Amino acid sequence: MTETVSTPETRYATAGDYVQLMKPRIMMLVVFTAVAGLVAAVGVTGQAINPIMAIIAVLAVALGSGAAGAINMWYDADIDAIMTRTTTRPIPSGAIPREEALAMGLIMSGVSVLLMWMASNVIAAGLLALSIAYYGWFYTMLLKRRTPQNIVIGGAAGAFPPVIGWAAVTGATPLDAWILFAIIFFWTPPHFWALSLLAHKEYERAGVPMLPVTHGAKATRLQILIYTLVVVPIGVAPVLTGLGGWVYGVTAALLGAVFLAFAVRVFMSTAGDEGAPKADLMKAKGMFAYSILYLFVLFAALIVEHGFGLYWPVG
Amino acid sequence: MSEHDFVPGPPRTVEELKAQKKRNIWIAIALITFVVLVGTTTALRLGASDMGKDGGMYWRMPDSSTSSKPLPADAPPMEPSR
Repeated sequence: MTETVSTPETRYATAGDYVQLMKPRIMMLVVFTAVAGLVAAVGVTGQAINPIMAIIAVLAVALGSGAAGAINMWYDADIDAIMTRTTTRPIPSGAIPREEALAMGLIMSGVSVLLMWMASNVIAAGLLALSIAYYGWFYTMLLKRRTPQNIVIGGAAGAFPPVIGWAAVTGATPLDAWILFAIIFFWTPPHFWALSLLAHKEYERAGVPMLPVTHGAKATRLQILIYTLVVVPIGVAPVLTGLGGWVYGVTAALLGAVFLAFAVRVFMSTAGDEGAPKADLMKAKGMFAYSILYLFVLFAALIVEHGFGLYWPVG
Repeated sequence: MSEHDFVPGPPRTVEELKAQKKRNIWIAIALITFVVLVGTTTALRLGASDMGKDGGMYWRMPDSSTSSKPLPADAPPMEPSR
């Protein structure tokens, strides 16, 4: 009997390797924004959801995120093995065979959508299925290696969770839910491009057409500034619809001003250029780190307002 | 595949066997959790449903106005047919 093994098994997989396969850091952000959407939906519409069902719905979102991550790692195993940042991932390090990662991703996809359907409704389950397919297939297999707009279009995959959370409670997706979607959608490019300014040589080596690879660092810095100029007003937009109150409004305005300052600093720097000084690279790194804080605090403000009774409407 | 095709793999170290055992335990936990979650959602959904006086135990003709109309509290006694 002959057997074809696509990836060498150099060590035995632990439970931790399977956790890594699910991209736990992305999962945390996904879960957090889904919870924010869920809590905001309860606060705004007054509709209730059984707390146990809510927990199961959030768990389903987490599983769906993990499933998409596993499928992504299955498909990207070849380029992960090239880039230093990703060589320690479970597949390139030889802990988990590719086929096993795919099987795990597909099984978890089915389980997560089924659980979501049982715990909430068909709209939320459908949106979860759509977001898994969007990340695992549309972004990973079609966009990532084809276009420098991969991050822009693919950003929608990460923007679905608050809409899913909202739909889990109400069975509908009103404007407020799509504003939360828009915040994450327009936040993704400056967040990810700040990182790619630091790692563009690796992307180039792996043949991934990230913006700094195809259009250069200067164009990327400009795009970071433009998208930050777009996301900051959208971040404040929930105040206009009544989704956000005073706490959210003040938080979003302050965070947005600082986010913009970081973007201007990166724009004025030479980050990503050949021979850029370390201080400029630190500016891009700072932008990347702050962008994570920005999104976390923004959605935390929503949770605080609607989950802890601190909502005071503006106007 | 016949039994003659079976080729035993290399002997596993103690660490590998430990890792395998841990993985198996996690798979078992995941499966049990899935069963519990499906059971919980089913129980909660059934608990929240209006299935009529008989608790949805017996089949009855579908009602065009509502699919789960409870039976009247005091139904008149049926007359024996002659």
